[in-house]
Amino acid sequence: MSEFQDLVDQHYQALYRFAYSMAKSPDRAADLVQQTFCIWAQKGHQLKDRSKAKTWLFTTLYREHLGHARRSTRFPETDLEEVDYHLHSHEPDTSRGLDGKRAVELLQQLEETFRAPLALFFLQQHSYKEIAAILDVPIGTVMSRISRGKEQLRSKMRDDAEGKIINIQGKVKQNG
Amino acid sequence: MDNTQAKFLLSSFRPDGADAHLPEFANALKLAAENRELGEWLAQERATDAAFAQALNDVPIPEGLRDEILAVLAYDGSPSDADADFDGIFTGGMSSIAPPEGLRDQILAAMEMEQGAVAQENSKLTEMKAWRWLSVAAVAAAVAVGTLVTMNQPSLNSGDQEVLVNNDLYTPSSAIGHSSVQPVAVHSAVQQMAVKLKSPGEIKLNTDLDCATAAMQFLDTKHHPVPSELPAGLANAKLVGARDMYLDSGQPISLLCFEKEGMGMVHLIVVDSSSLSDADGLSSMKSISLKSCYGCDRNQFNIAHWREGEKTYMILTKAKKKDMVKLF
Repeated sequence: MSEFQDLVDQHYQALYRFAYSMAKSPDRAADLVQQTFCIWAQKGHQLKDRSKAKTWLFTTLYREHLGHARRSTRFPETDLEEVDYHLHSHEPDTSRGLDGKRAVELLQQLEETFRAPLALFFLQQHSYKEIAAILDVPIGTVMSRISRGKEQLRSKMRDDAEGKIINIQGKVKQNG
Repeated sequence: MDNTQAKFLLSSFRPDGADAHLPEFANALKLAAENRELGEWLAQERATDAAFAQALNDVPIPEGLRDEILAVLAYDGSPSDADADFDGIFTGGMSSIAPPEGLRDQILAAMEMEQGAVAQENSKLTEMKAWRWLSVAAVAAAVAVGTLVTMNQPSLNSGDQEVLVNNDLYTPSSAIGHSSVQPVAVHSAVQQMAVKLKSPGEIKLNTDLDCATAAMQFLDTKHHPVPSELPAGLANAKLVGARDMYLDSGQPISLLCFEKEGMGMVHLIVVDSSSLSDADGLSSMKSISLKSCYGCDRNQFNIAHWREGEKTYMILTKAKKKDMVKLF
């Protein structure tokens, strides 16, 4: 197995999940992962310490995401699949527990500053120090964002649970 | 350290315990072991974090993503082992190939005719980019390539100027020593076309076609895939031209270029579904999928692809996605 293939096998899944936590559609996430490995193919040889390849990949993906986000702000685009995604995300669905999709939806509702550190924290691939390096912010800031981000996340999860209760009650009334 | 400080620190403690060895957590963990309230808080925190982490790590990975990454990277110039093996076989095979007699003269004659054709004001061929005359080195390269591609080609009709001059660009490279063409992945086809479309002088359109129907007839005469249905938004778009082409691995494809108001150039590519390894996974035009090009040298073509029966269609355009949506 080539070094490159080995690198892809080791990291593409976690990278995709990280990308999906920040991007607004599965396709955008896949594009980000693709782009990250393309950049690795072009510039990865410049990384002398190969043990830092994982951090390099996550850092690169994050920067690509930020770059795309900036471009999208200047030139907003509408992605059919994003539209479809949002439509689904607003449909009341009382049957859903905390599965992967719901976890991503909750993360995406957080402020941008909390989303990336929390996604990296929950993926459990990196220590808080490595997360700080990936996001290029001080260690204390990362710890603060993880702590406050989790508070926000739990608040949304509580709202989510309450919403379900209200929704179930509404359906019971309709059916009753 | 009090409980509040410990909670703040332990918020960054990964639920799988991977940080247990880090000294900066030692005091906080020790305090949690001694303090019941803090201990219960930590247990609850880790349980909640673990549930969320489990959910996030259960996010399904798109089928084929791994293969797409590896394929795109191989295409971008990172040779895989298989490529290296193939290169060795190919290089060895090339050395035994002798140019057919008269090929050099054919190429030079074709160049002369091309020069004449360009000089004519009413030339029926319009280049997408200014034609750059072949250098002496390019002629030498063309001789080498032409040598290979003519091996499995029918004899050229000397009156068919267009075919002759474009033979090195529009002949399947897979014809070199291969009797069958292996299917190629959709993303690879897209990638190849994106590269071709951005390369000056790479594609010469036949613009002697006043409408899509004429383009279809032209492609049919070339025995290339003909679209059976156009997206509604292209029905009234101005046809710029069409071209019969081949992917790098030899699959015949058809290119129809339209100029659409508000969008600029819209390139429609038609290929037989059997030429693609993963066309089965494509949706129909009714449930079209739009995505940015995978690794298209940052050219940022926007792409739509769909399948209708035996034909697979791709659209490449630099128009925005919100405008692309209007095509369907």
